[in-house]
Amino acid sequence: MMPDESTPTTPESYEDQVTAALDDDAPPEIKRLLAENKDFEKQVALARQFESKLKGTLFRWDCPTAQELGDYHFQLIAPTTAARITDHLTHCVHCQSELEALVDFLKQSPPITPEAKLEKLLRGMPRPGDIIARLLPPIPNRATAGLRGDSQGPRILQADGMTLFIETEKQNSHFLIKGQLAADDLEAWSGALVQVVQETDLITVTTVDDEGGFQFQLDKTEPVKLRIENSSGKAVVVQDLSIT
Amino acid sequence: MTFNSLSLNDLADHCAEETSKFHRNQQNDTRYCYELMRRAFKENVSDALTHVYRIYEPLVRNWVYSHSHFADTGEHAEDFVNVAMTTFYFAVRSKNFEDFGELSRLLSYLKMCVHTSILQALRKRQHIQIEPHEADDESAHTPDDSEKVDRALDKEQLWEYIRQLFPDEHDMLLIRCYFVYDLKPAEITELHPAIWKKSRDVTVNLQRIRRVLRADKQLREFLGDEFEDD
Repeated sequence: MMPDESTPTTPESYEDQVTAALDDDAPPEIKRLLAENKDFEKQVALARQFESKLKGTLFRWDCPTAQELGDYHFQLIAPTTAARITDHLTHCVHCQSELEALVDFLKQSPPITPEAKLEKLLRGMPRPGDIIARLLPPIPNRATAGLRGDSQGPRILQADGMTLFIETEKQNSHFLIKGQLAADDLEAWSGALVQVVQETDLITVTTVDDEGGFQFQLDKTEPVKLRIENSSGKAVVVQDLSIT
Repeated sequence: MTFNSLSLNDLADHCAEETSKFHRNQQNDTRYCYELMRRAFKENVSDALTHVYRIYEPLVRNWVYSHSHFADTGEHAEDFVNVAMTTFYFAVRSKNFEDFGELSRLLSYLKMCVHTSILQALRKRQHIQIEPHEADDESAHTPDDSEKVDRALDKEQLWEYIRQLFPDEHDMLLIRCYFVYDLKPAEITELHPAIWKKSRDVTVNLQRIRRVLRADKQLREFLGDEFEDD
């Protein structure tokens, strides 16, 4: 894109004017050019988008995660990784600052304050990035009722390529809930944490076994919320599943 | 009394009592809680894990509220409580439990998990301020481990390519300070006064670097269709 009459003649100096227009402290003549020249304005917009994308891609790209920095502080990290982080800390002001903040935070001993009501209401609610499981229509009970005794047929839920079967068995004064995950990447869910919430109370925390199964016991009949989270941070949420 | 012969409910009751004493600044016995954690994390006993959650969630919540950067995140404390407890679970399970040695070290580590959960949220917020679409792509769904590796490789390749465009080490340092750490010229000068005495020196060099980066065809292709020449 070549400049017009109102802009300098060399492409280099034109590009430098574009750069100047990107910065907050652009000189008055650049701001005037931006206001008066539509082509220049368009080039500046495109340049801003490009640099924003480049910055977004490169921002702290090789910084250790906050958790890795924490493990580094606790010396619970492999020697080669520790050496890499030590080297990184010599030039990264952000990681240096985070490590200092960690050391300060660990020294504090704040008094205990009671849990806010609003926070309790949020227990079990899905967070951004969580996958919400969708309940499918029930399987007709007739074929299996005779085999199942005093239990319902399984509820089937789907979530992003995973199928979740939930079965309820009434046993004396409580309910035994059995869950089974079926997924192509089942090994990624082995050891996943399952948090069970009824109303706003955490009822139990259990884990998914190597075959994708988990189970827990309930005394109350209120609907449950389940949060199943694996070690990669991926979470599937089941909302307000009826027990009876 | 041997701790591993205690019933889980008795162990949990003792741990809760000793934790309560700790909060009242009274002398307390840490062995009950350490044994409870051992059963939860090393032996993977679900009920023990449930007790750990119930006993320590109030403490974790308190730490969240007391963190100097919690308010900057704009998020609810409950989210960080959950992330911290989950991170703690997976992190301790991935390590040798005996490396923690005693309850105080485990609780310090749990507190560290609170700090990292807040810091990660802050990093994400900073990222969104720099490039909203890049950060949106990453938060639309949680990437699995193989996706994380792919993205890391892409960035490494990008960095190596930029290194080829700028063989001068000072140029690469400037690129790191400006694009990777998002520092302003005055901040860069303060960090590296031996290389750049004035902000103006940084600005002039950055002008040249940014011009070259924007003009590079391969870089434009890497970053997206909207930057490719017609």
